[in-house]
Amino acid sequence: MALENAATARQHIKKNSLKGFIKGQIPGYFFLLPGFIFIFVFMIYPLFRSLFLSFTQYNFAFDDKPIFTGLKNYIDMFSDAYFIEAFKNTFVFSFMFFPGMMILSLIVALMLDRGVKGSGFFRTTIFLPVVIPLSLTGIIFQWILNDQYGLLNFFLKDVLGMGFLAKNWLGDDTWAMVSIVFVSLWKYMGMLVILYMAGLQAISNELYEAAKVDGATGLQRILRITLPNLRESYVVCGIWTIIQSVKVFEQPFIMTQGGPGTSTLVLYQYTWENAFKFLEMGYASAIAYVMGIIILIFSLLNLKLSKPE
Amino acid sequence: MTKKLKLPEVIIFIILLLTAVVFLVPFLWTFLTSIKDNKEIYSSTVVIIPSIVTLEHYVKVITQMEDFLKFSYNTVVITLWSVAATVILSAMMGYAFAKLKFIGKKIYLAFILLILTLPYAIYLIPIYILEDKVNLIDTHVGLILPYVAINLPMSIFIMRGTFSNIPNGLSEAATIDGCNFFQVWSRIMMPIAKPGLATIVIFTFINVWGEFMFARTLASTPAAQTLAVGITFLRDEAASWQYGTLTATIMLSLIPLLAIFLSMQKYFIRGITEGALKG
Repeated sequence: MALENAATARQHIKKNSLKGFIKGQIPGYFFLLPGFIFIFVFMIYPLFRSLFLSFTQYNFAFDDKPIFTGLKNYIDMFSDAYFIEAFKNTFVFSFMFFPGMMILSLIVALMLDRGVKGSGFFRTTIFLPVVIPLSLTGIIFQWILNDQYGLLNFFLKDVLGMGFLAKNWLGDDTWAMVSIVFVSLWKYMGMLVILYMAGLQAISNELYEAAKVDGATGLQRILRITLPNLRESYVVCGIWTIIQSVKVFEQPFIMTQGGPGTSTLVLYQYTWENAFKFLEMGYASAIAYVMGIIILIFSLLNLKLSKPE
Repeated sequence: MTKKLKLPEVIIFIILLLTAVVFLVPFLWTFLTSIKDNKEIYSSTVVIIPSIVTLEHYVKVITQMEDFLKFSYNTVVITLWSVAATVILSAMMGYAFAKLKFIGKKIYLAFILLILTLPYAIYLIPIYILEDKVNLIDTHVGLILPYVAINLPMSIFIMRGTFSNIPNGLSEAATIDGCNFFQVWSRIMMPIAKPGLATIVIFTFINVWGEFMFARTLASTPAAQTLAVGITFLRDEAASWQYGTLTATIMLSLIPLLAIFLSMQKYFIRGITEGALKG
């Protein structure tokens, strides 16, 4: 009896004493620390460092250290014709890429969800480009879109007999961006198809059964039950797509280097060139932060929309 | 009833088939180009199926392009180290977030979620300055370290989910049997968490193997450049008359990726649906 009391008393002390409290924390920090060092050195420190740099003038080749200039970088942006052009081009890309992704992937997901023969194969095929490195994707499509020897122009001219549609896809200021959007759709559609399919599978069968009893046709079922019940998928897919559009980089960087002229120069490439071609680390950080803030707004929106409680 | 159903099914099948063809054609075209001789690659009318199959481009890439072997070696070394470190560290951190108590847990987690989607440029600029100071530019380590860091947040998230699904009773029983907190993790939890670990392996492998921006920036010579970056320099050197070797290089770079993807597709798709919003 006394022994038992002593044991509970000890446990009681252990729970409440500072020493016991600290001891309880050890396993947690033991598992956390090694990875945290990586995240700290390569993400958290850089996050604040580039925020600081964005308020400085710092040419990596000429300046010994960053010179604090306040908001100058952020103000200069608005009179920088290249920045405005890059901002505009990023917006144009998003404006075409977003509806393309959202609608085409939804249609494909709805069709795959019917479970016709070969659906597994089709799904894998459509998803395959997601794992192909962007730089390889870019080179593959440079070859396909090639003016003289490209497969696309051959197909338009010799197979469809519509030679007037053939173009120098990547060498024309209007069509270069359209081509980049097309390549991006090829690369990323599989991602949204998978996300939509997860959403489709989450809709309960009872809803469909009930609709069937009420005599709803296939199309009515899609319009009244499937589409309204995918609300959460729209949020996840939509915000993912917007974030990818703001961050578009490799496709134009590899296929057109921002050209012809500046017709496919996007924000990310302009940041990269400022930082690693002109070595203007301060100004580049400021542009990177502008992109970061846009993305942050959408990420927060996502957290809010997907968990309303 | 069956008749009514059949027609739409057939139409859907045909549309899906055409879509699949559009998605496959770039791969087929790359492959076909790589086995054609130069005359047919650059003929005035496009030749689809080569009249003579040749492996000359592959032979040339492997025997004459020293840089290709260097790029491949760099890619393999960098990818394997990054995957190994990411798997171990995310399994530790995911476990801590799922099962252990420590101060500031919610804040850390929210912070990790927040920095997950920011553009890499924000990190890359200070990392470049830092690595320049400590002479890590153009080294394998200089790429492996940031790769581990940028792949961790998403991986932690997936591992946290995996460990949360394991009932607490198991670890309690093991503790009573005399396992310390480390043994509970390594002997009891890790074997059960295998599907989660597989997801991290394939995710990190695919991310690192094809990563472009960090590799392009932090490696400026073939000493540490990976295939994804090196190939763009091969393209620039090759000019337009060497698409044969270029497509052969692309095919060779894709083999490991396709192999790991096709064999572990299930885990990859699971990872995407679990961590819907990634960087």
